[in-house]
Amino acid sequence: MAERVVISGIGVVSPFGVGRDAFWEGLAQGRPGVSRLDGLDTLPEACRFAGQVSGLRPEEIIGSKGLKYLNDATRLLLCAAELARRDARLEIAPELAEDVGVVVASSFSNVGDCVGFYESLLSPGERTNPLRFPNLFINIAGGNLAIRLGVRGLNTTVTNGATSSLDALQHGLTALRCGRARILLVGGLEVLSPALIEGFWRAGALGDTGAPRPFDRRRGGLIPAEGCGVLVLERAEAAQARGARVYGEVAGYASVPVEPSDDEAVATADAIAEAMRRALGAAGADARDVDWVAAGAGSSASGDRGEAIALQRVFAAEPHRLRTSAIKSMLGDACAAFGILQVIACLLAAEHDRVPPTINCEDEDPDCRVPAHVRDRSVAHPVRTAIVNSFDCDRAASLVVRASGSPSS
Amino acid sequence: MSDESGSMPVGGPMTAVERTQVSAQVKRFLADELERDIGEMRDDAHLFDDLGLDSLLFLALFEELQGEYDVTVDTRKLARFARRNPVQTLGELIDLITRIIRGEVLLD
Repeated sequence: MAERVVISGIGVVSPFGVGRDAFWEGLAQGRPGVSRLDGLDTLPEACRFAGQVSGLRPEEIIGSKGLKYLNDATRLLLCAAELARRDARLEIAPELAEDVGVVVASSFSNVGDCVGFYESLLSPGERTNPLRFPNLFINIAGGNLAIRLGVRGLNTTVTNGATSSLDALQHGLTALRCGRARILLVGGLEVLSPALIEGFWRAGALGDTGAPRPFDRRRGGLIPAEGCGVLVLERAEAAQARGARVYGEVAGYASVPVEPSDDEAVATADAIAEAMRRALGAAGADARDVDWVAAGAGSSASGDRGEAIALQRVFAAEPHRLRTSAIKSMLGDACAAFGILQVIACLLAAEHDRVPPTINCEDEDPDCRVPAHVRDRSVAHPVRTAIVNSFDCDRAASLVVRASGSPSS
Repeated sequence: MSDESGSMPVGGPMTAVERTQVSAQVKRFLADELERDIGEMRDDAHLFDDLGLDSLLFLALFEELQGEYDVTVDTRKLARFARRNPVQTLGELIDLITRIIRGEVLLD
């Protein structure tokens, strides 16, 4: 019988600031977390917006020693992981080293380092420092975290588009359940860079609405973001033995491909609906049990519509418990990292009995009618069963999260 | 000082003064990069066990010294040489670097 695996620690650094409390305050207040980008003068002004991490001082969280050649992505992951470790009251003794592992979801967190390294190679008279070379590999952050923690267990970096975070969580859970690890730190990590944003623009993906407008008639494409969320996962008995808090657990997961189609919205809808149904089935749960859907919509013309259609189908009975919102409206789209941020939002929503809103959706598209849509302001609402959706034009993944709520409840 | 092939001609005898200069530079550089006290940079310090010197830092050190001494060393030949003639302590490393700078070592 599979052992029960729980989430026992949370660490997060996001456009709302450093730490869990800052993250929740932003969500609860319905605060716009997206801000203007410096530079990028070749882009139209309306495209120069993103969810940015600022004010992070790694020396204050992880000390200043050994930081010199660590790239921004590594610093960000190390900070969020340290916050999660402290939250879980986890001390990693040397005997545990091979039983503790790291899983990181990340796509483009080192693109800036690759570009910078190459620019250095091309600069006449500049000697490129070989110590910058390891930063060219997307798993550098996950590798450095293991080195920092002195752990030698499972170490995987997952790069799989929008579903990376949920896939990383599922990978971690599978490893824990079959005994390949006893404790895992599972993180979602993205860092923006000028070349990357320029690339999004040249690929025609970048939105020009200044702010993310999920489900809104005016939505116009990706507003990118960066950030890092880390969860500590371990067996329930181990967490309890240490007096760590049990935030909740992943109850079900499903990943479904989006079929190629002329109608991208409908194809996406089919995949998201199927992912939600399968995840609910795996969790032994029903649409009526769901308190909050943390939607994956991020201002995509077809994608948002696809999710709205899927929600209408799965929640056709309009169950009274349901609330729905898209928090990319506040944070922007941190791509591979976002699923973990959504899971953290679910756990904190349960702690506070409050559902964050979709903001910037003053003009909800009639083709994107979202059942039980929470807009503009957060609402008081108990959250014990939540769904997290992540999707892009290739795949849709859904996770069912069962949350414990406030420790005093 | 080096020819096109990257192998270096034999030069004069090593002198204490030169080694002292090289020693000071290497120790300063490594203390800075490893974020250690200069006092820990002893000749008998073990490169790996005591100082945690890795191959990339080794190469970075040579980049630094090449700038200082206007010497060009083919890093692949250096890496090959280092694999075949491993040094264990900081003192041995400084000896080797001094000899390379003086052109006393053939890298091939």
